[in-house]
Amino acid sequence: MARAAKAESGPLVPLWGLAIAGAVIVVLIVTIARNWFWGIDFFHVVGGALWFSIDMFMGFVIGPILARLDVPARIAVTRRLMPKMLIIMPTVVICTLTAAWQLTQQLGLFNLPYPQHWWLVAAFIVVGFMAIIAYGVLEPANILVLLELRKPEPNGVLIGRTMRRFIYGAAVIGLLQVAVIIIMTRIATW
Amino acid sequence: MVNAPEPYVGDTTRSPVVAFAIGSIACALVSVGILIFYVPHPASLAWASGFSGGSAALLLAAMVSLLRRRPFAWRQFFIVARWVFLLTMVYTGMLEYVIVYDGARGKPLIIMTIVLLLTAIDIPILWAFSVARHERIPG
Repeated sequence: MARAAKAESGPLVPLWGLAIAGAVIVVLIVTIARNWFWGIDFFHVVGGALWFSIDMFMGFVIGPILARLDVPARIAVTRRLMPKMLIIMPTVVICTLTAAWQLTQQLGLFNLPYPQHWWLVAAFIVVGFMAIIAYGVLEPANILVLLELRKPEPNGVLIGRTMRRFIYGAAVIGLLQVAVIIIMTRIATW
Repeated sequence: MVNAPEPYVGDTTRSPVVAFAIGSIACALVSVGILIFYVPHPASLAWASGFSGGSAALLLAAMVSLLRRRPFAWRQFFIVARWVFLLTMVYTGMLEYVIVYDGARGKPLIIMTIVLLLTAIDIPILWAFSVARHERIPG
């Protein structure tokens, strides 16, 4: 007689991952409190590079690969990938944007007159759209897939639909990231 | 001939809760954007306050829409919402510290604090609803 599958219990995300994310946030706060310019620049550049790279990789590499896998393989990959994404992406985003704000202050970019100030406004608009997609599409999809996979009988149709939404959202954000890079390199080379 | 039951694909209806919550976040971002737009000169607090008020109104509309939803997987909703709320409060605290550290004072600080708090409530509602809406309720 087959045993009924049980729902998974335990933390949704690896606790060691939460500890690392927490340590990164603490280091960022200390960096800002000590007004350490190099540290703030490091957080912004590394965070931005990670954000861009992960979004592009998820949207244009992992997504097409997942679509071609058979369902059991797709579930196995998703089950391991999504908990890490749930920790990595919010941490990377908050570090990048917070460091960006501080860097803008330290470099005096907020005091730029128009028309140069428009580049800052443009950066804010693009990042605003990215935030709406991330908060409205990506993160809810991430959590939904994680919780559904823990059930005794996950709904494969719902997971597949949600993962497609996640991958497309990551790809759109990746493309918006190109606009951000254009703006950032423009500002950096005045 | 026996027809196989259609697989459950989740709640595919367009939800006012999602629209109101995203609208609230968008208004909050516009409110902050207006403050940034005017820096280093004093910002138009009327417009920034207006959009903050709009964000609050849309958040209230999201909550009302959510409360009117029946049946609904409230247990699943609160399981997700409480952890996401904890996360957003950590981020809100960090961002508030950065804003105060940078010297924001007076009405711009009040507006930015309100915007942060509204977003800190919007996001848990949005994420928790996006998960709980797909739960099948018995009966």
